[in-house]
Amino acid sequence: MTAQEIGDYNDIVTKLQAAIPAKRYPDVVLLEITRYGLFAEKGILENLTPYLDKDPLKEQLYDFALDVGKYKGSNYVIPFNSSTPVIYYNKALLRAAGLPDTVPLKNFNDLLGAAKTVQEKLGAQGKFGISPMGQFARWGIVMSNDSDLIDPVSNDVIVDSPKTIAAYEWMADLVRKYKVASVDGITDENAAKAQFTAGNVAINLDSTGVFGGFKKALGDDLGVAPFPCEAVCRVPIGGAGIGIISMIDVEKKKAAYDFISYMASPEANAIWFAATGYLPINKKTLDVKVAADAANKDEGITVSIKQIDYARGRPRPPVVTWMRKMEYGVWESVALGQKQVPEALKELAAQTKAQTD
Amino acid sequence: MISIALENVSKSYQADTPVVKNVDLDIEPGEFVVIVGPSGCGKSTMMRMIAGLERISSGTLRIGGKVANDIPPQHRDIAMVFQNYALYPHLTVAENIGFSLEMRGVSKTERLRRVEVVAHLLQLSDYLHKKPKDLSGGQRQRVAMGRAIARDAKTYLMDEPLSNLDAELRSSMRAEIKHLHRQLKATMIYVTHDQVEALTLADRIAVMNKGVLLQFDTPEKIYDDPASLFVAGFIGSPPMNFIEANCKEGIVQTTKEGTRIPITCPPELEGEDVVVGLRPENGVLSAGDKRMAIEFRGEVMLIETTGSNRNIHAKTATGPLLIVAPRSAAIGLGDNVSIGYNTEDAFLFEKKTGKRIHLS
Amino acid sequence: MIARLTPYAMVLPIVVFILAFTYWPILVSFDLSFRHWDFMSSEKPFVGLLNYSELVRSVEFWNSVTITLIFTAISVPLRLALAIAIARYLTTESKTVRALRGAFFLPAVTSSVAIAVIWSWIFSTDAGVANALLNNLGIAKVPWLQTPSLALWVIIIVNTWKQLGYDIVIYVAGLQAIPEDLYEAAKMDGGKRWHTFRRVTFPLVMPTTYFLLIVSVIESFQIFTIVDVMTQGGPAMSTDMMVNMLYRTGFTLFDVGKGSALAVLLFVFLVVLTVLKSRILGKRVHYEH
Ligand SMILES: Nc1ncnc2c1ncn2[C@@H]1O[C@H](COP(=O)(O)OP(=O)(O)O)[C@@H](O)[C@H]1O
Ligand SMILES: [Mg+2]
Repeated sequence: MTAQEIGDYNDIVTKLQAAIPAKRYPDVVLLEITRYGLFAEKGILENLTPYLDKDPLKEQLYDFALDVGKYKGSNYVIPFNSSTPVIYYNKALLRAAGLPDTVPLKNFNDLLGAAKTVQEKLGAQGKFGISPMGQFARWGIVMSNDSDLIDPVSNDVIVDSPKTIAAYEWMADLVRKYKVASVDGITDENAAKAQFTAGNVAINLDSTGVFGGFKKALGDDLGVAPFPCEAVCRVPIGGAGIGIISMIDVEKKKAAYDFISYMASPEANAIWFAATGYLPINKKTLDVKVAADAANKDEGITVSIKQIDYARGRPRPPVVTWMRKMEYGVWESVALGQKQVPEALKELAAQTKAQTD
Repeated sequence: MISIALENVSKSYQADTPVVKNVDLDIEPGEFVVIVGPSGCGKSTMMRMIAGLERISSGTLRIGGKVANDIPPQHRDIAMVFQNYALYPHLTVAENIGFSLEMRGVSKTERLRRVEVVAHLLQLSDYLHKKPKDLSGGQRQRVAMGRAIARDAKTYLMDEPLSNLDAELRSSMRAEIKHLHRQLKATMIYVTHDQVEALTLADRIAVMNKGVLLQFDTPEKIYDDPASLFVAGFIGSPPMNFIEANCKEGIVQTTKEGTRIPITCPPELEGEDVVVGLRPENGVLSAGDKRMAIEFRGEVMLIETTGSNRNIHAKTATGPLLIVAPRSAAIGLGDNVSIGYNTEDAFLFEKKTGKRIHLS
Repeated sequence: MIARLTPYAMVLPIVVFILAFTYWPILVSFDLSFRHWDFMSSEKPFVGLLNYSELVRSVEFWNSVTITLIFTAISVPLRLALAIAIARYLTTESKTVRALRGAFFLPAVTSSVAIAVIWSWIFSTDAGVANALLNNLGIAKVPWLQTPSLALWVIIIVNTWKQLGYDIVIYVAGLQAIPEDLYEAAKMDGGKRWHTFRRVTFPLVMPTTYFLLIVSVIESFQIFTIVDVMTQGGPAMSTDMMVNMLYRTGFTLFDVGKGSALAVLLFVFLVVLTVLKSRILGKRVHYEH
């Protein structure tokens, strides 16, 4: 087996799509959890339900883990790394701004209030209250406001619904109105991460998957809190799952499935979980010692495990891939004040609908 | 018209290897000075220092009495004709000639007028709209001259301006340049390695060798009274004959038979090696009987006819000897001849230093 | 017979190579530009000129054409002017000068991605060196890459910085071909620096200028990597070049047909430019010395 480093989740989609007509596709592929629908729909991915039915693994997996891999009732990927967004904060910066470590960050107002305080007290030193939301966090904020981009049941496009618009207004205001977030993070999500790890930003909403990296950078100054519950408590499940390309021969498929199954086993999952902060997907993972140690030690991991209860898989019709690509530009234009939120989201909704027809 | 003076001027490109050494040169206003010397002796370097294109390493340059070492070329009021003309290939003849006027902000109508005058003077009127590449060598040369004279500078510098032309054109251009000098009444400094050009053009000639100025004088003086072995050999065509000899008992002597050189040596040269110089055109061929003070016996090896005269190459006991004889002289290859000189025609040089020894 | 065929046999591999990797893809894109395809479907239905007509009716297309033209119109003259201004001081042959030429040339052979990443840092609004310097001068933070009117300038600056060394090296060669005595003649003739440049240097490097003009226009129309890394065409499409739109359309939105149509349009334009190049270079700009 050879592994190929491809790049981020967007790149994987691009490369895989281009590889198919060239017949240079891999045997197994790691796909982001909202973007495999496209390939499942086209028959590129192997239906894994028959394999799972014969595999004891099926009983061990958390319900959410099975659920996010399902497209139109069948399993096409099995999660490898799963994550939810959480609130990260820099305790040292909060203290420096006169806030307690335990300042409540339970809803949008709490976040804004804390961010404003930090900005007021430390803005002159080049510090920022909060990072602009990355796309995963944006989706989370929308869900927390009891809405979505696409209706999970009907698959209708609801990116221009009032609640979604309100959520975007609030996020954009952090930058354009309250100026408690740096503009750099709008055009470059990595810049937002880098500013937080450099200790220049007090609050950052991001995936549990980056916990390990943040911890390394900030050490004991890193605080983790559950994602805010504005209208409801609901967080999206992110990360990626492994699927099998349907065009390869039967022998290879068997071997490929064994590989996937192993990656989801308690032993393999425990190592990954302990090293990163991604959610455990196997109910027995926490019985493994490394995982148990990590879970007891790190509040970040505890927080993320607690969120499993209200974590949701996001809708994944083929158009989501397209829509997520377009959403970057929309967010950029509203956060930078170049377009009004309702207008921009209505445009995106219309385009997305046109794309589905 | 303006005077130009070099005082103890030296130039080195690399430390310790000067290519021009301690040159003193006083040029009168309106004078036509030719700098002559073999290739590589530093003539161009001298001229470029005067022009301001090359820094002077040490010494003083005065233009019109004023120290000019640091005056940039465009402010020296000097025009220059380059050896390979340096015409602007993308400009027409008219634009080339008018270039300096254009650079100096002369109005277009005035420029055209001046260009036409110059073109007429140099017989370029029919070519004003051609590009340099469409001209013959001689025409290009004239454009280069035209570009320099259009400006009406106080001094003109010409670096081997004729060296790329054929012999015929060269001689006609020589005359034109001489004529121009009279018309322009400007100081002219002209560089050449051709001593004929130097003799025909110059008011005064500066002879250089290996970066040293050897003699600076009128053509006549240089020819009649060369200051050194090098000058004597370089100026004059065909070149002077040199006979190696020795001062013994106050007399120049050769050990060779059939040679008589009854010249007295100054006492300080007793025992020293000397060189006797004899110009080919002063030699007299004699069948034998007519006795002259200096005499060689030899055999005719080669006869060259130059038109009015003949160059007779003879083999003598002291080596080859060349004389110019009138065509009337009845002489044939292989003839045994006697060649005579008057003592006044002989030049004596110290061999070691090349210095001229004046005979009393 | 064999002797006659030998030369053909020897060029065969390269001909095959060029056919396979240059002309075949061009033909395929041409064909795809008349079809609908998303890379995965087994059908590629023929749709005639639909892709083209959709393209020329879209705001996005004209936006990218305009941006590309503005980018070209500013960066080409800027590059050439800077290059010739700098090249004039780098024509002599000394160790220092050669080192300087090398220093200027280095970005031209450095990966565009690396360059773009570094300049993204430099122009980052809150953590960038550019704003830190301005801050020292008492100037407030400038959101370089977040302001539509500025982001294009940043792209122009970065691209110029990258390409300048190449332009300089070509200009140095062009300037070195001008005989030194022409400058000396101009000096004697009283030419001031600027006059001499305008009347002697500039006309004489005209062949080089034409060459660089065409090459840099073609290059400008092909700009992609720097934009892709630094702004991805944003903010608000203000740096969306034609190739970036092409890539997005074909490879992230998987509209292969429209992407190909865009590629064909770009290709035709560049071919026209190239033909123009050989015409102009053949005609106008030869001097004999
Ligand atoms: N730019 C230069 N750098 C180093 N040496 C030079 C340079 N120009 C001339 N020289 C040397 O100086 C000497 C005199 O050159 P030049 O004045 O051109 O001679 P001429 O004009 O009498 O033939 C030559 O030995 C030449 O090699
Ligand atoms: Mg010379």
